[in-house]
Amino acid sequence: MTLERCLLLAFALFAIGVYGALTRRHLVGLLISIELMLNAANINLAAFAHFRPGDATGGATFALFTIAVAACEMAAALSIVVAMYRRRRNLDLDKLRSLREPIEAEPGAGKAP
Amino acid sequence: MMSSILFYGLSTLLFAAALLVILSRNPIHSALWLVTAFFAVAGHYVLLNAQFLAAVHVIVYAGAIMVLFLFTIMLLNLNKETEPQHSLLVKLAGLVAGGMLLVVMVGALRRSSAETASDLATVHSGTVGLVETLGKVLFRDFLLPFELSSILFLAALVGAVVLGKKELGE
Amino acid sequence: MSLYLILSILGALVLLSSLGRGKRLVVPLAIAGLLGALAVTGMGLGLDHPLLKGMAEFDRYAVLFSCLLLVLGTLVVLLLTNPNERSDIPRVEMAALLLFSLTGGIMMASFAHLVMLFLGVEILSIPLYILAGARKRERAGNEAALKYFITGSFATGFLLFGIALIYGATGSFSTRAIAAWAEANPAVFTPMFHLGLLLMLVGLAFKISAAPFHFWAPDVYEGSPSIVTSFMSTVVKVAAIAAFYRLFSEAFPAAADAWSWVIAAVAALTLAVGNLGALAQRSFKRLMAYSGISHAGFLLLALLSVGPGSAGALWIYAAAYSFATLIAFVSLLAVEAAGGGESLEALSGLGRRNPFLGVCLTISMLSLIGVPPLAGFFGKLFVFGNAVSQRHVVLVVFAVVMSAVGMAYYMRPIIQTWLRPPAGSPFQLSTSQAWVLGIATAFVVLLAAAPVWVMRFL
Repeated sequence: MTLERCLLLAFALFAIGVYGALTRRHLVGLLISIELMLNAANINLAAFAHFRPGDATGGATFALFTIAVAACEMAAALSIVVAMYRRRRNLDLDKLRSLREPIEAEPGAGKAP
Repeated sequence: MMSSILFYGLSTLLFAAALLVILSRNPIHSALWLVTAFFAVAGHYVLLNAQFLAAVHVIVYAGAIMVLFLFTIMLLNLNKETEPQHSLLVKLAGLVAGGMLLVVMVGALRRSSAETASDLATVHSGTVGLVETLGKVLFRDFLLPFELSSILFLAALVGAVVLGKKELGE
Repeated sequence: MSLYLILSILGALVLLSSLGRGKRLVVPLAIAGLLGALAVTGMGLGLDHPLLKGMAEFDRYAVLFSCLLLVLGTLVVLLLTNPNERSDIPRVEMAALLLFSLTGGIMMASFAHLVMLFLGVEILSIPLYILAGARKRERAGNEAALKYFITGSFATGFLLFGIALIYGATGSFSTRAIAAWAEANPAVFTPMFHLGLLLMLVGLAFKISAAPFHFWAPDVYEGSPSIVTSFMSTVVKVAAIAAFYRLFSEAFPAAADAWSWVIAAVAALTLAVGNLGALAQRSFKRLMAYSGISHAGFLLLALLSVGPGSAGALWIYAAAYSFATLIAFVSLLAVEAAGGGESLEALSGLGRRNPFLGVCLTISMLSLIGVPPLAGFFGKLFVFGNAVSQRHVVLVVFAVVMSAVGMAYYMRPIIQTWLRPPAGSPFQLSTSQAWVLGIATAFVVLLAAAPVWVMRFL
């Protein structure tokens, strides 16, 4: 168990999270992928705090703040999800088409319904 | 020796769970694999001498965030849904983006590997991750951000209520 | 310290006022509190405190940007008195969330430790994820909130990962210690340090909507209520660029060779995308979104020339941009209240429907173009001058060409206002709208007198 191994693990987790965030079509799936990214950063913080010289307690304390922030973000996100599901009955990200660039062919397009 | 066996075991578990989180099509399966991944991360924290962090991680992630996820999935009755899939092209693009990121990061790690290996001697003492140490740091050096994070909680609380509640006549 | 205290207590008080019959007092209470905070900040009372413990530092830069954020926040909160705003979130909660968000913005302008930057970004953003979805009965409202959240939290992931790597490379979160480490190890910048720097840059670029991380801005601006959009395009943009500059000038000055070309590339791309994208727009709100993107490019130019005078140039540019943008959004709010939509055609004949509004809107557009002697001209003058002195001549020439392109789309609202037949009958502005317009226009005109003073102060 070395710093390098820990970092490799965290990088892999981050890349998996990025892949998921880019390819999931389901909204809940996307939120879960973002959680993976935040966790990867936290593993990094803990690993650096353990192995590197300097401010050792800072890393673990920062990770506590990250956890708090992640919880708040998810609370906000899931309330958005609930509001959206009420309106649309559907959480498919590819169907988010109300807001987009105006299209030349149809005048007045691009305006919210 | 023991710790390195544990490390590899937990790493394999975490890696597999993370892949299953991304690849399973049912949201509830994703969420359950995420719980597994969270426990593996908590195990890593213990190995990294951050015991308090591990406890908080389990309490907040497995206790609060996962409950929130599962609650939403159940409330909106998503557990029967299978996710519509993106075209292969989008997945390939995601794979390339994620893979490039990984390659760049691993490359950066390789090039700085001399120093990541050399500092191994300076592993800190076992008390760093305990509540007593962290509590002192949190309430002395990190007092201001600690207090200000209450604004964050209040804002998230108010926001979740105003956005999530049903309006009259809806 | 006193500033954080005032703002957080104010937010809680505003929430409490909804309990009894205090609802009508919400906006006056918030305004009084914000003006109090502004006075405290302006006089420098109790800003430094031993409890800050190196977490935040109210130097002149932080004080000046906090003042700008407070003035902008006050003006937006003043607009909340209008009954016509389309929003499903009650006014009390809206005021409280705006105040919380403003607190986050001030943390971003005054941080001296990366945990304050991270928390500040989140406290700024989370209330806005909610407010972007304030039109929660409409599809567009949900969609705006969601798009803002997704891009925002994606950016948070990058920012956090970058912070973790910087901590790993330097062993500290404090900007001073990071700068000292970079000074001490000039030759052996590890790849890890650079990667962390790059990831933080990406995270912050999302927040100021710099290309190629800008794609969310037009959709989110369009789907949010106009009052929230006015907050996003002024307070959020100013706070994000203030944090950006503070981070790079205080923590990473020694690594400038490594990041300046990245910033230059991002700035050039942002200028091109913002200005060329704006040409195709039919909606005034989307036009202002692209205008915001292009001005993010101009603001990034100030980062390229970190040195004496560059912080002053950044402040003047940010103030000129945000007051002019605020005027544009007040015009939009007034036109919406008079029954018009968000399209450019809704502005037609505005000069005859309400001459005061027409004149203010024209001044705002001229300032955004950079016509002398308005504030926007001085902003561009100082930013370009500094960049030239750092030998970024090609980039400045490109920026000048792009501001000429800007003239093409900023003239369109002016033409609609004065040369087209009125789209409706004359209308009155509400008192608060008239006040906000008057104050913002006064700033746009009078900031022309301020540059020397600001430059000397910073």
